Amino acid sequence: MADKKTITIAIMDAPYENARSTTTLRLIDLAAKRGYNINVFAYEGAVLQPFAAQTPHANAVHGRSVEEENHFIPKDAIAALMREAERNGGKIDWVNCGLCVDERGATDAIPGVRRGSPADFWQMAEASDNTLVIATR
Amino acid sequence: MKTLSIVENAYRATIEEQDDTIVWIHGAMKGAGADRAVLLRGNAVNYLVQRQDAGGLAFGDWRQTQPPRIASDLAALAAKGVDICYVAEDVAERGIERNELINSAQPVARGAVAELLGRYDRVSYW
Amino acid sequence: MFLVQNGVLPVRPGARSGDLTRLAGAGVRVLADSFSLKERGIDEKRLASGVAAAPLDVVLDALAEGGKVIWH
Repeated sequence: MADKKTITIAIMDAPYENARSTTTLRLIDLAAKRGYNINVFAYEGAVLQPFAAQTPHANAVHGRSVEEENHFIPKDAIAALMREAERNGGKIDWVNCGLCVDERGATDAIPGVRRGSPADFWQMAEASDNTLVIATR
Repeated sequence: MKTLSIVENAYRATIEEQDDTIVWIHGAMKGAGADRAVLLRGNAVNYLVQRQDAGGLAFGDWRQTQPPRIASDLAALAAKGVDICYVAEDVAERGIERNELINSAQPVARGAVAELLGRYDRVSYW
Repeated sequence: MFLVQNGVLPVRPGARSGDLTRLAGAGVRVLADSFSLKERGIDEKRLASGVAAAPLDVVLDALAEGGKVIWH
């Protein structure tokens, strides 16, 4: 595919803490729809984005059950994006920084996420058409 | 104990939480019997704008069916008896017209905020 | 310059948007994310002079074209 690109994105924010996380997923969604290969290097708190133990909850303030609330769960959005990328001939390679995983106890990630190190980020960036760092503040 | 909560941080993780968590926690506290009031300042005054619309987001085949509806949530808080105020100059400086806001919030001049704080037993700054 | 999230809050006319208009006058494309505008109830058709609404695709296009894209 002449227009197929490989993009690397580095992120640092834990889920549910900053709007940057949503914008990141929006960007990945656009890239997945285009069939791009997308490398994600999750650093620091971002290793919790694909944490497998996330569970939705009801919302008593709004009177909504678990099903009605349909709470946004990052790991499910990431899994959906992985499927979207594959559907369009691309792939998401999500790497969680290993030491960040260890200190946060975030070892249990969804399928398709692998443990890595800063060397992976460097190698992904070298092999990409472009790299975007979305750092925390 | 009457407590005033000052809310300044806006849209921090509202899509993910499908709420503003500070507005939400005030709904929960009110439901539990707390006596609270809210002062919106800075970017948080935008929460009062009625035509906010965070709907339509999708990631792959996941669709958000309950986007945040923060203006409605503040109006609902007001309807339950929580005083909702906002710093008038912060609205004007952001080019927001008064008629864009929910009806149930009251403007407070920036210079009158100190006196407002004095009317409460406690003040929390979120 | 692509404004996203709360970065779009200054784009209403009269919202201290003079700097954005001056930037556009100096030849900088000043764009505001359409979703962020909608999320904040800012009318796309009523933005400060020189500012235009745009989809997030613009950022991905810039990345795909090899531009130096910096998140600030």
